[in-house]
Amino acid sequence: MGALTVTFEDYGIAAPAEAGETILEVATRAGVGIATYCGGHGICCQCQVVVTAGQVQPKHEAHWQQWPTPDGKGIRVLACQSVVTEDITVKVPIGSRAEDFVVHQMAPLKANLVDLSRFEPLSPLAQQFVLDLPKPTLEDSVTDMDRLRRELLHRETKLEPITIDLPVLRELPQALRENDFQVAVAVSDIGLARKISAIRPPAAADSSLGLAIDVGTSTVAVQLVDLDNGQVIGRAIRRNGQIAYGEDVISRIVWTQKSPEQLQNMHRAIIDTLNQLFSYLYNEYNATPDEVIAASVAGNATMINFLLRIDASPIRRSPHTPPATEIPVFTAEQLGLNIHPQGAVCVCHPAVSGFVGGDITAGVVATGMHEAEELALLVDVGTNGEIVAGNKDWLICASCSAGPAFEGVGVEAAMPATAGAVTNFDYNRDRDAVDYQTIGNQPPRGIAGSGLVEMIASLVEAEVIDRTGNINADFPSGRLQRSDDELGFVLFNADETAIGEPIIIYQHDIENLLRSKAAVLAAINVLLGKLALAPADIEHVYLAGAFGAGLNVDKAVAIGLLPDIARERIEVVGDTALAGAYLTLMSRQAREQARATVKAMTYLDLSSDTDFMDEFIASNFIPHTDLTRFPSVST
Amino acid sequence: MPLTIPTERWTAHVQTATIGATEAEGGTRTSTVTIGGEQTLPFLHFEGETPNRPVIAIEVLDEQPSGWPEPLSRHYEDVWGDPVAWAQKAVEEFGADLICLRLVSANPEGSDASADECAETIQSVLNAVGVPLIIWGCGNDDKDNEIMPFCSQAAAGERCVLGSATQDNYKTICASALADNQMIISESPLDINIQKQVNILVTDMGMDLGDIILYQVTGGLGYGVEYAYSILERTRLAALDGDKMLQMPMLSIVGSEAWRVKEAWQPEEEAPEWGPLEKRGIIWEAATATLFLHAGTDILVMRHPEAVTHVRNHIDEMMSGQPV
Repeated sequence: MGALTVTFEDYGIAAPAEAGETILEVATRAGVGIATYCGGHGICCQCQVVVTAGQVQPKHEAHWQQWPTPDGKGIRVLACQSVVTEDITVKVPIGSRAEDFVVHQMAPLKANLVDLSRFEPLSPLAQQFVLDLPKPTLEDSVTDMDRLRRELLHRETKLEPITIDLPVLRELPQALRENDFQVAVAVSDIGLARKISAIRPPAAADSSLGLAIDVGTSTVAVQLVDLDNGQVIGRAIRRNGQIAYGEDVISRIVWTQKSPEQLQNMHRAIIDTLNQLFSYLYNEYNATPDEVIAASVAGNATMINFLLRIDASPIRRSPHTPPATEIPVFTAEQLGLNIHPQGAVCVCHPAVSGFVGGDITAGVVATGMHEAEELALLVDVGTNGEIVAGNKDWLICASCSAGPAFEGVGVEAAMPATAGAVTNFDYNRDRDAVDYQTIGNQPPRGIAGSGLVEMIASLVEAEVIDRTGNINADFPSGRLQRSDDELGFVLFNADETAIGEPIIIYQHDIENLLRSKAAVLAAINVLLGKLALAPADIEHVYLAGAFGAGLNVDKAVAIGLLPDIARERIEVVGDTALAGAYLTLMSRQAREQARATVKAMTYLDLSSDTDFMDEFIASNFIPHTDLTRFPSVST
Repeated sequence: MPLTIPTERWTAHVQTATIGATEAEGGTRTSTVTIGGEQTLPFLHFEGETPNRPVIAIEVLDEQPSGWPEPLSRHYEDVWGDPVAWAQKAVEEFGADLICLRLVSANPEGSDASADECAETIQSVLNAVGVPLIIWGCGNDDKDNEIMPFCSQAAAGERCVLGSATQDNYKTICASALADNQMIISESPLDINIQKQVNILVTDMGMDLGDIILYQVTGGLGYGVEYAYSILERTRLAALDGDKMLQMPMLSIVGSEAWRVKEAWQPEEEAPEWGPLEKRGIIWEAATATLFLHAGTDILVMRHPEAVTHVRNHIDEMMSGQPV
């Protein structure tokens, strides 16, 4: 290994390389984080690097791209398309660094979504019992296992039936005798039974921790929870490491089919992401893996199947049936998750279909729309873009494949909602200036989901773009730029940003965002149409996913992301999947509701719907081709 | 028992548009063309008024074309080097209600004629014929944006129709139309939503609803006309239902599309089962035109004089309100 050397100047790393490898492959192995969303296919153009010494060869002659650098030194190329055939030196521009792959703190979830009083009494996925067992005698000579069972059932008759796995059974006799028959017994709720997962000294019961996990396609979020009282100890988020293999579920499924090892790589990527998140929380809050005895997971069908290392390829082909949506509870060691090895990992929220997953059913349970009288709409604007309409009497869902534009993928100026992300944005035409707010009040690094919505609303109002999203080539401002035949608009100059480069929105970015919002609006309109409902009939809209609580919902309607519904009915709810995972972590009743909700949901397949395409084109306009549908939006 | 024919009562009707301006109106046209105003679907006279008959525009190119099949070219060979003579023949011999002048010579990949040259051609044609004019660019956005203001200016006062405004390129043509009081063609790639979107964009720029003619890009018979028919029909239904953004009269390009298809030019030796070449193109053009007529088209842009005659006779029949 390593006849050649790639020197990464900014990192001081001289990485060994084989002739024929791409810069991206070398960098990944050497721990140099270069951003990529398309899995190295040369599509997303995120992995731009500057080769300052030596020559690279194109991976594909026909698709080779290179750009000059402002200072004329070196050439700018895509790391994934540049093949190393001699020693080279590479600079990784700030904008190409995969810093989003770092764990970040996460804001708390909305209180009404995680209100455990809906489910009193608490019945977490795992709990510990401190038992003072009578020692075996000739008169009381029941087996160790029966002794345990007997005592547990004394405490709580509802624990019947009780089972145990072999690894724990092997430890049982010693564990009891070493602790003089005074033990802390951890018991997991695996649905059909309770399973003894640990037998430890009584002090172990001082701390019973659990994790609520949202395995999102683009972003993974985790909460560390005290199982005794439901208190949230800490939260963290990180980009899903699988992004290196594709930005959406379909491209990831395609990746796994390249060869048998790729499914293993895909599985490893999410396990590593999760373990990194856990390590962060353990360090921050002085916890150890052995204290964590349960985890509740929400995610879409593809994410769950990859978590379990199951081949998800049937999802890709008609009729798109996933291998499984109801998943048995398994143990952490079966997956390599860094919590107590026998800790129960429960995918508590089954998926509805290949495209409406447990993350959505989790959102339904979290919002409580399945128990409410009012007619509600849950709109989860993530990569997959799912909609649920209904109430306690009926539920219908659909997925519109919105694309991750609002999550920050495929839009050059976009970024996840971490420090430096612009969340509020207004361009003032008269002053030719931007008023804005960022997370952490730091100089802008990029635009977050809510910032993107507000940006579009602001640009169309200022007539920088027209209703189809075309940038006005005659707009009287120096912010207007033309590069390579494409118009762009400078949102922040280089001296205003934290990344040393200007933040620019390009024509193709706007088109991506409009298409995403068109898919969401079209799905809502088609769904409502099928139900013979009008937007005015919706009493509550839960806007979940890529937007923080600070989103101005007026702007969301102004651009036509949502129909023209009274603004006070629209609630921005954030990560409802994580909220749902938390509720099912803490409550058996919530777990039962989750399963019942899935059975109650009807899935509407938009991919074969003749109205959807028509409505999608109509929605690809600000706010919509039929302006009469948006009476409260001034024209 | 007497049969009552069920009739539809529409709440709205198609906009009326008058193309061309006479001397009294500030132009020099000896005739104008008024279209639209339909109160119901095409020719259902028992249901509503059709105050204006559909009209035929004959296409004139500003330079000699190539590759036209002989049954068509024989009628224009004597004039096709001279747009003035061509326009005159189209009006005097073939009875065109309007001339649709295509400035193909402006194409940068062809003759790359200048804006001044195009403006001159327009002036000559306006001097030579008295019917209203549709002025269409060469199809290259950047070049059309260059020439259109000059062309529009050359025809100032004549109430011409300028072609065409698309979703990606509409500003220059609107500015010209507004400056010189012309009408515009609003073009859409056979999509009813995009048609509406273009109309919203141009009206946002200040165009009046009454100064717009709708144009969906369609092929000839055999090349997706069922879908084209349904889009035109849906547009007309939306108009009658009150959708102001789709209430304008419609135009269809028939001649160039019908004569492109292989049925119009493939020699008999190669396709004997298709019958005599003499008739094929004419039938193709007449059939395509008739099809769109019944979908609601108000202006048919055609080429072959015999096809024009057939279609005109058909319009006479349909407008007479009498059983045929």
